[in-house]
Amino acid sequence: MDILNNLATGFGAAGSWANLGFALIGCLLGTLIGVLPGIGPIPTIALLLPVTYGLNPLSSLVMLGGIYYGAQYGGSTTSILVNMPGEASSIVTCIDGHQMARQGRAGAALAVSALGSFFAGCVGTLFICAFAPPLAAIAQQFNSPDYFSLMVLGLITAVVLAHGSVLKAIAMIMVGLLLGLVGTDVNSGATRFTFGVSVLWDGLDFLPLVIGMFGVVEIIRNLERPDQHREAITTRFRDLWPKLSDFKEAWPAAVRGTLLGSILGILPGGGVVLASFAAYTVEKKLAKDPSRFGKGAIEGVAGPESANNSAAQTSFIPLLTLGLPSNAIMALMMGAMMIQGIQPGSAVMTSRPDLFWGMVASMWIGNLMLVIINLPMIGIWVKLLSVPYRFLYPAILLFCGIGIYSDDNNAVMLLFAAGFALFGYILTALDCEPAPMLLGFILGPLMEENLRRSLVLSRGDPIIFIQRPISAVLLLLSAITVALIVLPAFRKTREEAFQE
Amino acid sequence: MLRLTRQNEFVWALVLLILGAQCIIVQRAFGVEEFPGFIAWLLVIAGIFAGLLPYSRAPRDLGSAFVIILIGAAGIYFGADLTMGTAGRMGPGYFPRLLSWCIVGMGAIIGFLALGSEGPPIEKPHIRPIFFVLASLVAFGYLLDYIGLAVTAVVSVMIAAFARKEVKLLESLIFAVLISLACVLIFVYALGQPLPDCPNGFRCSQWLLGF
Repeated sequence: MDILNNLATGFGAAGSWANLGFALIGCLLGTLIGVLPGIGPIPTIALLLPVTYGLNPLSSLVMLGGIYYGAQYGGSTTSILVNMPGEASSIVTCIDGHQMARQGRAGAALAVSALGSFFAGCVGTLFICAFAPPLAAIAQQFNSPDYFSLMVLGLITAVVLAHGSVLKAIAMIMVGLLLGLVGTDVNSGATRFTFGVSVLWDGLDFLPLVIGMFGVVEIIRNLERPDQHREAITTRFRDLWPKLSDFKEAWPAAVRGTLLGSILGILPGGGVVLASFAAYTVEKKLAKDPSRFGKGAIEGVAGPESANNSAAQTSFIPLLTLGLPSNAIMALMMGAMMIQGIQPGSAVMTSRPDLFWGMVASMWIGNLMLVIINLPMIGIWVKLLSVPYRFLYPAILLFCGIGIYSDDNNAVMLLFAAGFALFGYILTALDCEPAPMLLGFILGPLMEENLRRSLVLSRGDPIIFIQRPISAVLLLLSAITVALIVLPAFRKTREEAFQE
Repeated sequence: MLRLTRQNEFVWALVLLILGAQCIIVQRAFGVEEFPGFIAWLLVIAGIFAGLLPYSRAPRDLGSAFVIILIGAAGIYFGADLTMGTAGRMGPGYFPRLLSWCIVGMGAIIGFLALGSEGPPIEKPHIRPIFFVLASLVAFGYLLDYIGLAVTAVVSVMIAAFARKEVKLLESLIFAVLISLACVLIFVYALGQPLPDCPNGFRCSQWLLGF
């Protein structure tokens, strides 16, 4: 009954008219930007972050959640109708979703993806209710050495699941950690890497970094490619209802996808991409006739779409209970929470239960909003898809500018954003993914703090990380993960998995 | 392995290397700095990589090794003044230095592996979109304080329009004016963001309607 009580607290806090409104606006804005081709959830959230600044913590988190789900779902719409995935997790949806759209079953694909996502969202929310309190209780036992080891584990698993070279991803994380150290050192008051610039005393600002590295770089990269003829397949609300036979084929896949996604989402470093890929593979293996896949099999839409949505929910679990962001999107969320003065972790649940459970409730509300706004408004999104890129990018760039400037009315921030955009451009040109860097950037100060405290406890002896059982287990897991990467057999399957 | 056709790069590498090394030696020996110290180190590192580039079949990996080592070197160089402390009582310099050395190490490993493996080439960067997109962003920030959002938005959209090869001036101008109007209405009046929309921090409505 605890769960019900908690949920009641949550719905009481998040269910106010104002918060429902913010959830709705968040979903709308998220879908609006997320549906634009070539813009994945990370730039979408980064772009819309400033909009949430002025609100109180709960409302801003509710709205941010809405933006996240909207962005995620908007990506699926683009994949199905235009065959242009905004990010890795919708690549899978492209495979069969777009084929369905070509066969005139766009409506069915969109509806199955929306309903599957909604179902997955409900289950994901329940998962959080069930798993968050026990995990938070474990987290209460954690001490500095354990937190340090936990972050090591989180960062290493994030690397395994990133695409591209493992070594580069590790290097990028370290670079992020280093960037996170810029500013005043809390223990000694010494300023580090500030070059006498007073704006840097509080550390590098989060917003110019994220918008520069993810938003602006995206725009430049899109401009480099020659104009693609984007052909959006149109559909009407009337055609949305899937046939009964579609339903029958889709629902077991949706259930399987949901369960798989919920579990994979919890893993540090896991999350959305892994979930949708895994779900697709499972559906293909289970199907009686695997050759239908790639030619518009409805299970190939229902499974991954449900999986990525439930993973999107459950990847909040490590963040909310352990204070550990499991992927770049969660790092963004963590940054946004810290701007609101909330340090994510087990303490939030006990000290601000209304905030915690309100957020959980808002996830469910956000998912409901998505279904409500997306299905009837599909026509509008389709129209938006056909706007040529030459009109889109100056407008997006302008919004980036306004967002960065209104953060603290400082023109220097735009210079920083431009600098980070250039840096991000160089990195992507060299195949270094900037996403792991964001994880490092958020965790940098925390990691240093916990390392310092643990070594003060042990008077400088690193053996403390092995003496404490929790820390030892976490480090052992990290070591196993590293060993797995080094093992050639595993590396092969990993490469194959990303190839698909 | 030796590709003598790449003589140019070899000469460049040598020039960079010698220039950098000479700066460092002069600075150490006589205490005279010809360049700021980090630039001298940058020259040395760039020289080594420029020399290695023709031998590598994975230039993209080698390039990333270069960038990564440079970042680590910057961390070491600019963090050199920070107090190190001991492991038990860490000073502000301990973790940054540890990290910077790890970064240099990772960069070295990546670079070493890049010498022996096959990989994609570095694509030539497209200067046009990079320049105009970044210029538009920076111009936005610096103009906003002086001429207000309404005009700045038009200017910034127009600069951004040049990022594509086919510039349609009239079309872009009409679009810029429309989007600027929309931005002023949405961000300044509807959302109440503290942005000046007219020159000198005034609000257009103040000026036109008196409130």
